Amino acid sequence: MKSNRRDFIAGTTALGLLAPGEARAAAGDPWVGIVHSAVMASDWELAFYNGLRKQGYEGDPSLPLTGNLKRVNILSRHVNSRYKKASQNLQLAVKDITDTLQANLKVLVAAGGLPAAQAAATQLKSSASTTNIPLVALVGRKDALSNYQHAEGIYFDDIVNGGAAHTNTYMQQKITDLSNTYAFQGRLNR
Amino acid sequence: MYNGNSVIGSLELQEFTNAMAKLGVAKPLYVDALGKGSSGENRDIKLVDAFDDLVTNQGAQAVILSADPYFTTQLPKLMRIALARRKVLTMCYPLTDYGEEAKDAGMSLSEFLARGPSLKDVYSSIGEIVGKRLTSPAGAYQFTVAPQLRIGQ
Repeated sequence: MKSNRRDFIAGTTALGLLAPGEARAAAGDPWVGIVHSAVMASDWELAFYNGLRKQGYEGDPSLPLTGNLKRVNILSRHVNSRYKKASQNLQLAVKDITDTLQANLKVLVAAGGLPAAQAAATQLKSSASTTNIPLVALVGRKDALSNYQHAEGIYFDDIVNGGAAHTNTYMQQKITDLSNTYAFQGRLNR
Repeated sequence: MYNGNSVIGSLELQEFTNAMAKLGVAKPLYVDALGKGSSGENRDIKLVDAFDDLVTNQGAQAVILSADPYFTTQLPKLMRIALARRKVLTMCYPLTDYGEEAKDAGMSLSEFLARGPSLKDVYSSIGEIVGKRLTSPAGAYQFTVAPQLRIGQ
């Protein structure tokens, strides 16, 4: 069914069988896929929409288009923090997005840490039809993401894989801050 | 406190022990929230048990919480746990969103520290990056580091 989803969309639009979002896809509006290792809370989702809006896009399906905003559709998949099989679950989630949207998928967002971003990069690289899809990742640690050529985004802490020394200094800063500002003494040892 | 399920959990523990060693602490206190005997899934995490281990059993006076995505989904529960232990515990949160929540819960700036990005701001920035990419599919791809903010005394 998934592999024929595009044909299904094309073949059923005239019959009015599609959900509103899918109907918009058939009409040519761009789609953004989101894969999350946990779940995107409503506050973060609204912030994401706000960022899109600043660039001229309305991603909130509950709001009408205003001004010069252009509609962009969102398809989200999340794996509810099931880390144990995160790679498998997340890759399947990415595959579901790419299979469902196919050429309508213009950007894929991976959030919720490295597992989502790594799974997204791996999955996108696995097929010639998806190797040019831009990947926007939100990760805690900087990572090569399988050297996927079209990856960009934001990381929290700098770290280098491949044997180089870790460059993360934030842990040290937190401990120093607690020690100095909050004056912790004493029972630090087991 | 870290999540042993996380791909970077062991790395965070290593960073923590290294940083504490610089302060002359040979055996720092820590807890893997996943606990022993777990199936390895986050649903088995008992946050109250983890805090009891770290604070009550080990005697920790401050807890540095990992920026683990699962922990972030448990923010309200973590806030309740911290509130119940506010007299004996100072929390160090990994995102300023926790700090905002702690302030809203009535905690004073002497009772917690939040150092790290604002997840709300970061998601807005992600939205902007996506919007720019929709408008201009070509162009260089790059990662940027999130601004590090602080809420505390």
